[in-house]
Amino acid sequence: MRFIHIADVHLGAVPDEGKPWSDRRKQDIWDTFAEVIEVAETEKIDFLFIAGDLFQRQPLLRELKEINYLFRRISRTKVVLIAGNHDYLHPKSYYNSFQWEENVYFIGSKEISNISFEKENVCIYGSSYWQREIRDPIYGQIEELDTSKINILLFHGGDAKHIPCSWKKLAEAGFDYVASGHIHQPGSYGENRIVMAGALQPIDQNDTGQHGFWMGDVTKLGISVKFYPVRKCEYVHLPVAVNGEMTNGELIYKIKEILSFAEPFQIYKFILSGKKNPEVEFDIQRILEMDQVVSVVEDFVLDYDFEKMKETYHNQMVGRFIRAMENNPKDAVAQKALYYGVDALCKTMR
Amino acid sequence: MWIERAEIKNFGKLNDRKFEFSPGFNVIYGENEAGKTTLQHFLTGMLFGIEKSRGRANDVYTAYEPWNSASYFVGNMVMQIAEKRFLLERNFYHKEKTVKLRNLLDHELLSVEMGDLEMLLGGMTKENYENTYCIRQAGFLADDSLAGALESYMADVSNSGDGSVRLQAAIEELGKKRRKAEKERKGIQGERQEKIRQLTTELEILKEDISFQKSSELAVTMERQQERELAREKENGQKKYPAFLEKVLFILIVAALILLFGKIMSRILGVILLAGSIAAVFLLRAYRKMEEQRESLIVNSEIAEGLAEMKEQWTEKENRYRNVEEQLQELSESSPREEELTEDIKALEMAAQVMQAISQEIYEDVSDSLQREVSKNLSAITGGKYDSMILDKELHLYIWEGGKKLPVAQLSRGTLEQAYFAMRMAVGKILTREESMPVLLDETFSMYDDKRLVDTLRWLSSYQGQILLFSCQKRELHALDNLNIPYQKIELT
Repeated sequence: MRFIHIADVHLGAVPDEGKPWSDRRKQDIWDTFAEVIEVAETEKIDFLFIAGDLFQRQPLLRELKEINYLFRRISRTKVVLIAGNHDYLHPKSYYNSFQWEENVYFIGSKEISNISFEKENVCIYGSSYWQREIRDPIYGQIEELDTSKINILLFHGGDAKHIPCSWKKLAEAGFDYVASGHIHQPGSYGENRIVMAGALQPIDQNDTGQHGFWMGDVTKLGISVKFYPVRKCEYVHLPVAVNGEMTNGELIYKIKEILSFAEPFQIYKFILSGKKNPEVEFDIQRILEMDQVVSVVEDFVLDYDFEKMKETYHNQMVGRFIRAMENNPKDAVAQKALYYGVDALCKTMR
Repeated sequence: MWIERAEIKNFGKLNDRKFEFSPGFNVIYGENEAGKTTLQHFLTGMLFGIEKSRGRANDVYTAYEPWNSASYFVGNMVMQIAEKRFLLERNFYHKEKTVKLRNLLDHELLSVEMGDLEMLLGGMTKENYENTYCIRQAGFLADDSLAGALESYMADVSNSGDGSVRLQAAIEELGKKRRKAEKERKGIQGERQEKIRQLTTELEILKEDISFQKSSELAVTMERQQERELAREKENGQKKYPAFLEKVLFILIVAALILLFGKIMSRILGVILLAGSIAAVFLLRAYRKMEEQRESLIVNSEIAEGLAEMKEQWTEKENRYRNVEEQLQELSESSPREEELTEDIKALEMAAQVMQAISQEIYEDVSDSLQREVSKNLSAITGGKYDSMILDKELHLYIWEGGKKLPVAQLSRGTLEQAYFAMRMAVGKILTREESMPVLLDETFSMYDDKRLVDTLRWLSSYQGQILLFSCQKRELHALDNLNIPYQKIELT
């Protein structure tokens, strides 16, 4: 049985709002979904699994009509989907009443239920979200499976607020394939029997790396499944080392050089780490205005050795300030205050 | 710093005069108009320069403009700082103003314009000097700027003598950064608020639309019509029933029953008729029912479709309403950048507060030690008569006498001068912590009685730096002789 497994499509999401490429990203999400449908058609796929969060929010009727049209184009493929925490089944959700094409199977039950496909000898289990959060590990007790069938579970969640579940436990449940969603980073567990599809396309700048869909074959004898990236957009978190000698010009040059080697589909989040000369001001705004840069994290510390300064300037303002700051609780704010204060004092030195 | 020698080429009434001073006590004695005040102005002019002010006739420049040739307005002096000798040369003439400073050990030329001299003098300014150690004739009162100078000094400098860090400037810098962060945060918040405003408007419009559609005449009418239609159907189901045909069939059945009681042929006929009539009744009923159902179905489904379409519209809007609500919920939380800025602002405030606290501590330390110093000085000058003085923030002096706090203005002229002298010396001591300066006294003790003069001179002799005392009387010389205080006498004629 050939299948495609996707999750977390988040149709309707608007990534990087305010950035010039935001509209393009929004469209990419729709386009990628349509492309997966095309693949299902050309590859003669038997089952398309959508493991939750097909939509960013409550789907509108016209949106459901859009995707239902796409599903109609792959009438030989059976589409099985569940609602995730984003597009959960609100009492007035269109999911409840929508008339799907014949080849579409929406598992809208709160409890785990299954649909049996006799011809293919496949039994598909799943459940939908009825609210934004489910803190119960409802996959703890799964009924006895009919081992003569290919048993597949559609699962959405895996963190504390969304059906907590250990991969080990899922592996022990005896499914031939677990098509999971919710975590945006793709990955597989237990010899590919459990796959977290990952977001089909990155939804925000923290969805780093490659995104795409999984396609494979499952029989009672085993599973073969492969990840197929769709490289429309990839976020890269790139640490950039700064040091005490680095000037602003050098940093700008370094960033430009990195960007000159960047793939056109990449969008960068730079994490400046290391030590910065207190005298140097980095022009972060200028970096943010460059193409393909979504954010800059200033994770460096100023090149101050407080212990040494405390000694060197023991009787002076700087030493006195450092000592006075030691009386404050050592939290993030106090740490910043120490830097800002020493920085301001050093700037006034002749 | 002490002045080793001074050479006046041309300055006021003095020309081509050389003076040599000792590093300790010097008494410059001369009769009235001998040029004592001129010499004092020459020395301070050498140190800090003399500006020609526009339009003021009796400024220092005009007062000491050479009598013979205005453009030759020149002198030099040698001073020692940390055992290094420096030669300072000046031409005061405003059109050819020059100043040269040279280290006599290695002949390195230093730049006064670049602040080398100021640095050698430990940052002492003309204003501060004239408010402390440089006491001019009839000028015992320090002007108001001393209070300001002292106050900013106290806030600026740690009492440990670190003048290189300016606390107030650092606090200002922190304030500037804080305002910048606040501005950025306000911008982001503003954008968010604007978005919230837009979405809230959208939400209101949707809400109105939904309730309007639900209560609209059309919807209500359709709903009612549907109800009426249903009711009518029920009635019709009974009414429309074809009574006439039924009556005919009833007659036929009766006829058939009568026939049943007849002969064999009529019996057969009766049975056939009866069966036929009954079958006809059932067929008729079934057909009618079917017909009616079909009719009502057509009517009803039209209404239902219309209603469903409308319901669909408002359900769509209800879904959008919920989505907008969700978006608003998300927007109600501040963004990570806002959080970061908030943390920055808190940190900047904290740093500034800690500095303010240190500044206050320093201020208290300095003013405490200043008060002690002033008290000590006055006690020495007055032979212990006054030993407790209070200095408020504006540097107003008070004196404790008989358990009462008296403003110094209520003291006698002599004691008043002594109180201010004590204060000038105390403030001077603080301001010259980096580099000592000569104490210039021009007829300062003329109002002192003999006893206080002796006490004062005895106390002054313990001063570690150079003292230049200008006097037109011999009483200071006599007193110093009597006290066995070594001094250098320079006579101006």
